[in-house]
Amino acid sequence: MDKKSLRADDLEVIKKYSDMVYRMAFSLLKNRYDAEDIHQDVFVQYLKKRPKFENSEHERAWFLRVTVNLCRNFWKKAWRQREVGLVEEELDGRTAAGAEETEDEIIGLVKRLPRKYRIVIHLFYYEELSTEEIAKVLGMKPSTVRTQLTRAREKLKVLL
Amino acid sequence: MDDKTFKNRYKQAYDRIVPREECMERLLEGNRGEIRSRRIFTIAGTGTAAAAAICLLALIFLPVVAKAAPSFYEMVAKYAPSLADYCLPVEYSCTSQGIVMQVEAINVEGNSAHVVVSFSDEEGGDDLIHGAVELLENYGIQSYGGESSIGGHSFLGYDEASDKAYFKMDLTAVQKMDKAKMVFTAYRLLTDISEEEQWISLDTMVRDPATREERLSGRTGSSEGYAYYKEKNVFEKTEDIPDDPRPTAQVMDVRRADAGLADELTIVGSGYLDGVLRVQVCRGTFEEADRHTAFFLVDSEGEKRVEDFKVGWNEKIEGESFSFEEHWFIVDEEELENMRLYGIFYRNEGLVKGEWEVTLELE
Repeated sequence: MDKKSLRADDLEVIKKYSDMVYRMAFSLLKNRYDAEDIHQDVFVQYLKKRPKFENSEHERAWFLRVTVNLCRNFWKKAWRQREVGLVEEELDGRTAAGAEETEDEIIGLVKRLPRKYRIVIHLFYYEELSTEEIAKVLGMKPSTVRTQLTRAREKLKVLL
Repeated sequence: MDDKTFKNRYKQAYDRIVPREECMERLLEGNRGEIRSRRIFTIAGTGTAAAAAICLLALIFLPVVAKAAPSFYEMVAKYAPSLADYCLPVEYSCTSQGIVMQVEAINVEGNSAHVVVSFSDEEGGDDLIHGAVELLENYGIQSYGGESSIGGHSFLGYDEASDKAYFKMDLTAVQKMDKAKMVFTAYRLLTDISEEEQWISLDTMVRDPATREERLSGRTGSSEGYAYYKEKNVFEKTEDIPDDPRPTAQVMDVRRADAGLADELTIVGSGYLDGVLRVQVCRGTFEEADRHTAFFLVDSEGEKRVEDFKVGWNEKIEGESFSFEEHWFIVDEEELENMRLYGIFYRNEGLVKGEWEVTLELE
């Protein structure tokens, strides 16, 4: 698979969802290297399967769901292999200086939450999905999403 | 920090998180375009169809027999070890009611085995496991191949990072465990475990409250405490009722007849009678939860005193059975004026009934 074999609309889709997929993966994983791996895997899956979407919401939900599922598979694999020596977390080199410290703190604090709470926090506060939309993406009941959001906020209150 | 501020700061932080240029280039250049090859399994068939059918039937029934009869498994393990694995196939993970039980670690030393088991939410399931979990007595441990054995469990903790609650199972056999297997089964999990501490006001304490006799479901305390209350005729000398050997006690009759009872820990009332402070608690129905309390009297110097005695009983109210406890402190009234009552409320609310079973090799 090379650049020439990619269709124009493939490139358009990749560009459209690249940042979203990367941010979702980064919010769930320890460092940007793992997030990059998941980012690659998501689009490799897209290019292999070429799913048909009813509309842009369906398309967006697909990319979010696949990203979350690949991150979950990654956690299982990491646990079985008992990986040690985590790579130190660092933000992308293009981030601006000065205001970094406060934003790093927020990211760091949310990353201290259990993984399942990080997923709903990111989808709710960054992707601005409703609890019903989050439930559809994750294949959960809306009540479960609301419970997880409530518990996540309670834990964040303690951390903040 | 309010919700809106958090959202703004979170968005600002993640607006600046983007993949590196090299990452996009790698994707577009197809370096990660590997295609996994499929593995094709073939099954070699031998013998006649009838022989195959007999073998199939034997294989289906053997595991059932082995599970019901540990001695059968031991015999198979001794004389046909290659078949032993099939008799009791190893299963390290099981899912029921949206909760996954997983064997995490096994350690065998001589005739003892220690196994770590975890409970976690099934992917996409409800958020059932999010803290401490209790098994109580709702589990079973059966060993195969280690002759008779005894076992127990302890809760290790809840790990937020992995979102798993961990238990340790301990098994001790009569002889050294060799090619032994263990089947661990759980039927009920109590989640939503919480502890709440609070000061309890004695402003509404009733002096010389009326009492009534109740047949007890349990009582506990020091022998001195028991002797004291017996002397005060708290424990009635009633005639034994056939088929009901339970003792009785005089408990406070302070609950209003029209007061509804919630399926919750509720302080019904407090009273002072014959040199004893009494605190009566309703523990709810216990159908789907486990609740209990501990009380302390705290003096002006912060010294804590535990209760001297406690009695428990059940009452049928509007068709439901409610559990009650009364906690007794032997204390002078004058001394009590300089003391405060403090309580810890333990609640295990989230009952999940299921069938979790794992079979593991102890080696």
